[in-house]
Amino acid sequence: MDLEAPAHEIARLVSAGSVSAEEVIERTLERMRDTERLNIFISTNPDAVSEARRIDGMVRDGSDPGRLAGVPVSIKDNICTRAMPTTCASRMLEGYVSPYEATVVERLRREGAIIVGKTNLDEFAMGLTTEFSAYGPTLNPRDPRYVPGGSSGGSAASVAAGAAAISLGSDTGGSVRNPASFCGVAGFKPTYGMVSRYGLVSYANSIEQVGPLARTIPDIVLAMQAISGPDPRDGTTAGARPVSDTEDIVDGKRIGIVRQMAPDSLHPGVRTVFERAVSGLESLGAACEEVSLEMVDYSVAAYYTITSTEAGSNLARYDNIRYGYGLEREGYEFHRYVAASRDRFGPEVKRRIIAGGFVPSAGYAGRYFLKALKVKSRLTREVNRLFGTYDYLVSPTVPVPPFRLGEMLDDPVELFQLDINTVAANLAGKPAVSVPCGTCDGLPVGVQLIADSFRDGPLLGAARALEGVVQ
Amino acid sequence: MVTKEEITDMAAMMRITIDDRTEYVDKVQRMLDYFGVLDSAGVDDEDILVQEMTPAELRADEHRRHQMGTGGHIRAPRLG
Repeated sequence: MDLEAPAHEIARLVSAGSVSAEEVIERTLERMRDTERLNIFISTNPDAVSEARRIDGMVRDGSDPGRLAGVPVSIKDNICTRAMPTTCASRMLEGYVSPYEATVVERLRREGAIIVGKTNLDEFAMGLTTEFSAYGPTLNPRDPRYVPGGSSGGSAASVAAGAAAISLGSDTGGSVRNPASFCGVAGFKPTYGMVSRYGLVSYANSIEQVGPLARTIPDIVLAMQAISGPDPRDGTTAGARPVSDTEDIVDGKRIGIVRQMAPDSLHPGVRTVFERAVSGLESLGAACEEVSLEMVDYSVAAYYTITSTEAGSNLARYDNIRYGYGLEREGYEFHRYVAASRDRFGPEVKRRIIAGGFVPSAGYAGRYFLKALKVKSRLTREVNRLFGTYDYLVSPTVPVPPFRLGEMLDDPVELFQLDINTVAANLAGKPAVSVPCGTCDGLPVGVQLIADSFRDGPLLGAARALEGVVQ
Repeated sequence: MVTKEEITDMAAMMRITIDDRTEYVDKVQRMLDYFGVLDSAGVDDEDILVQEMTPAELRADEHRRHQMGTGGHIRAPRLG
């Protein structure tokens, strides 16, 4: 059994009884042990093998084990699971076990997937290198001297290392697509409202989505078929329809190359890969031409203003009263006790909480927060206007290739700039996918396709066509 | 320009203790200065979009007793 095999192939073999789920999971756990030095997982599922045996029993009994039968899946550690801790890579939630399970995890299990472990991330998903984790940085499986991207760096690394066939991450401003690009795998951010957020630990509720990562686009489709659709426990999914089968057709489609996302300053190695991908789309019959999205230049500032504000509010709940870790209460005045307990937040989270206190506060809201909301509105209108003419937008996923660990930790604003090509899809609520399209000095480079809201299926079809032409 | 004193005061209000004041204050100040580029976005006349959802689209507003909890509440395990 090849652990690099696509998830749909693993599921087919397990369902046919040609390979046992137990063997798949035993070998996956072995791979997880062999790649421990990459620091991909925060915890592993102690029941993975027994769950695999249950799937094998269903196959023997002739009952349907589900479309993900025996497929090893990893879950970003900010998505709640009952069998394993959910730490958000923070000492604040060290050892915390959720009393309920996220809808997306329930749906994967229902389809026969085996959750093998919870993956590392930037603390509370705030970062894009997976270096801001209380459990230490994850290393890039393609070259351990480099960052895997983030914040779902552990998820992307688990798929790239063969320690999972599919992983679930969360994407607030590119946190699925960025690590997918850096680790050479596919990553998908669905339309806002397409996938339930119930059980995703909140960072910036108004824009974040759960999204899958996998080695191929067909496996992304498989994961989306399992997790998408309405959930009565998340009102934002009311209009969602599950992703159905997709057709990989780009012939006759109009594709806009976003000028602001491929500027003259683009890294030359990334440009080479990007231009080859655009040529590939054209060779399939797509008409590609340059378009302008002026608000992209302000989108990163708007994104961090909005997310800092929502983070400041969401993380106020961590006061060691409703959630906590047993800090001795004696000797503290109430407010000092809360401040002492919140000392367990890491430096990046603390910075964003402080910024998140400022930007919506009296005297500053008009300058920062309201302007950010207006940029978000203008950007959404610009994007909607383009989708009146174009079927898809295309850009490099990240403007640079992976960089070395520690290389960009000193300047938060310099790091923010790496989000410039990914945040627009989040602010506008559109689906976007990163497709691995080549390498630059041996390091992976991804290309991003964006579609109009709830065009997730056709977008994945176009991504599959792109994947086919660049291989 | 947001002053260092304002940042220190805001940290206290958010119940965040900052050990290395200089590093925190400098980085937060850089973040807030960067957010200032929004001044030149030219969006003053833009209406803020809100996504409206009618009550009919939402689930029924009814009490549902949670199966796992006691007294109708979910009790998260306290750690430590």
